[in-house]
Amino acid sequence: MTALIAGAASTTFGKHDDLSARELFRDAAEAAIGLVSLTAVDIDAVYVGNFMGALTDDQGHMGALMADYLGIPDVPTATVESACASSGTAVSRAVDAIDAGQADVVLVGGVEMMYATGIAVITDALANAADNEYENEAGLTFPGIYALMAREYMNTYDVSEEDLAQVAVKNRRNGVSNPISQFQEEVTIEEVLEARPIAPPLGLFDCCPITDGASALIVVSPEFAANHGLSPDVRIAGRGQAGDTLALQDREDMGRTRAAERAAERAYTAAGIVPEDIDVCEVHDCFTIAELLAVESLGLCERGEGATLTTTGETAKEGRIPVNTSGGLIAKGHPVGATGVAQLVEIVKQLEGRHPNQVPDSAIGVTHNVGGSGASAVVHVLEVAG
Amino acid sequence: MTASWYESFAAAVDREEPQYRRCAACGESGLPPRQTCPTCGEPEMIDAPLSMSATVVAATEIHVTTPKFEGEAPYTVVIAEFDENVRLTGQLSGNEDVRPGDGVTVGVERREDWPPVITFTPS
Repeated sequence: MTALIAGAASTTFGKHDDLSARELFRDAAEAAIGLVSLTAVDIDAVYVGNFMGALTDDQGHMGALMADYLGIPDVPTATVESACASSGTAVSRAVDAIDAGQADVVLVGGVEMMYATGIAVITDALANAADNEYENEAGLTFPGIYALMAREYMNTYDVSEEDLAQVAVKNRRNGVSNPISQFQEEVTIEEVLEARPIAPPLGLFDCCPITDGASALIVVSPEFAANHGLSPDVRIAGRGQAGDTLALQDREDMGRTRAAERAAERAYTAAGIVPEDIDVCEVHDCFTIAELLAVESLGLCERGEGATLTTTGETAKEGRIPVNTSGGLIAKGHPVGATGVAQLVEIVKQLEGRHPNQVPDSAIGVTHNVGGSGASAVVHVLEVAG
Repeated sequence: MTASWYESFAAAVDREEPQYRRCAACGESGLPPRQTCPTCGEPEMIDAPLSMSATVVAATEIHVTTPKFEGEAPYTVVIAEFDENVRLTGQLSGNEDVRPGDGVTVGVERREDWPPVITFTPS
């Protein structure tokens, strides 16, 4: 696999109630295209990650809509939906198209408009990623699902609410210097622990916010790059996808995300790396507990050691293996359909040496994007192209 | 609209005759409407009687909820495990706290114009 990332951009994340999904996506796409000496007419295919547009915007068919508004209505398109892993999955479709020789230049991105409809509608919309009868009809919510995962995890390992809170403190600290981040203020351990309960042990600051945002990548084949004088700095060296049962109740160990473990193994094998080779990671910290499960799934530590990895500062931006230097979903924000691509945008900035929280000499970066409570997962390994 | 399999599942719980599905080949457990065994791929899972009592695996109190349950929060949601190696999600009835390992009895709460809600009552 040799797809190259020629352009990568995100809009600011937060509140964009003056814009529609098509306008916000266009901003991200034009910014990504603008980083390459290309125009929209060079694009062979468009893949757009989006999860809840049909509910928040009364708008489906986002792939076709976005291509239309970029002035390329004739190219093949698709909306890719895999809950919170929608645009990570879309990246894999883009690489498929390039590997199969079906496209040389693919625009892959994601967009979600969550702010305008309010927390109750969003909680309802997010619940569509869960099992409707077995989870939603019982009154379970997404924070509730992750709270149950946290409870089983904390019941198995010696992990406290303070340990979970350290994830929020770290990621909010990283968000301060990221100009696209929704939250640019630090929080203290006490503020996290004393925040109003959402689904204990998770409080308000253990949860990512609701966010408007869009992200986009221009992925090109090596042949196209060579023939057009492009020399992208970053290549997609490996990718892995895997699944698990949709409902949490059907998993033997709720304190473990098997789909992410399998996706990581596949991505590492494809890239020919081991976890010790990784310089920087963006992981799916939709809730504080999720980052602990993520670092374990990625093999950055043994199972049950995720909290120690965090509390000893190893995942801090100056630590041994920095995780979520962007601020993660908790600080940067989580526009669901855009998140997977947004993670790649952040890793591209690290590998190009232009990240606001730059990790020195980053050569290998990993993204970890999870749908629902872990029923779908996609991991990408990015490397400096050489 | 409520799926008819879910109505049937809840009605059986209501009659105190809950059913689960067991793989005809390897004995793996599942819940309706699962027909294909998730472990061995056998296309036939057969109905079998499920206990009324289960053990709490994990519980959380939901403070922020969907429009449908707004006004009821906070309430507690539990995942409990049955002897038949089945786990089920339900709402805790009453005000008692539960902890992992506590015994609960499965039930159904019916409300006008709503799909049935699976419940657990501390036993």
